[in-house]
Amino acid sequence: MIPLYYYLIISCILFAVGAIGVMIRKNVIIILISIELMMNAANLALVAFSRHFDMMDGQIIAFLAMTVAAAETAVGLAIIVCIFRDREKLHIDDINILKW
Amino acid sequence: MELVLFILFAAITIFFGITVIVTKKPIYSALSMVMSMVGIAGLFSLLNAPFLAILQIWIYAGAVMVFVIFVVMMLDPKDEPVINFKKNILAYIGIVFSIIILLILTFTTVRTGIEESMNNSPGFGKLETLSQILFTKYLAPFELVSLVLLVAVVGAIIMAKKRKRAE
Repeated sequence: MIPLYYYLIISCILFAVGAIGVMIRKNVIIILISIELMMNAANLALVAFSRHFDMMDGQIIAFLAMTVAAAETAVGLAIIVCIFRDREKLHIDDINILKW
Repeated sequence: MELVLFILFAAITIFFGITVIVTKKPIYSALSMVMSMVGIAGLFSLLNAPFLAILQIWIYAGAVMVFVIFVVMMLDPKDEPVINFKKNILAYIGIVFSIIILLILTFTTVRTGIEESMNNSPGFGKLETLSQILFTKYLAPFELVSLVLLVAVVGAIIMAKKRKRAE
């Protein structure tokens, strides 16, 4: 059986990669994808702990988190489409006012 | 055998996770994300969670990422250089911060001294057990999540709808 912290280290690396993506990229879509990456890292940690403690609760929370992530992507992409229609750009530095 | 599979899936996940943030074209980024999701699904199945592995592929790789790819194709964003270090000193700070996050997380995980994993009870990870808990103990969050999905659908439609500008 693979020890718990192998999975936790994978999860940490994935989270850090997602964080780097959010911080260095300028395209809004890629930033959204990086956020998804971080959410997946959290899910992985939840499922790993769920097996470790022999409790199903972690898996259920991961399941609910997945649903919420899907909803978040839908709304985020709708906002991106909306912004693109107004600005014709997807560069994060151009989106600096709340209303135009 | 288990270790080999673990290394394989972990390598897929990390490799494609890194490709997500270093490729120029957003479409490549989205496609590498699909592969990264597949790797995570493999890790889930190694962790005794077959149902979540299936859901990961259905919902993430299947639905969410296809949605992202559709938006990428519809908007057709320009390629952009990954990072422009000359203009952008903040990017260095971002990378340094993320690496600090990585180090803190890794050190705290390794140093907590986690004991041996418990042996899983026979029903663990079965769909039957999962749904039994989901529909008894976690019934209220389950219903709330359906509400969240409904609100998200309505919100997405309203926001993405063409509207006349009031001028």
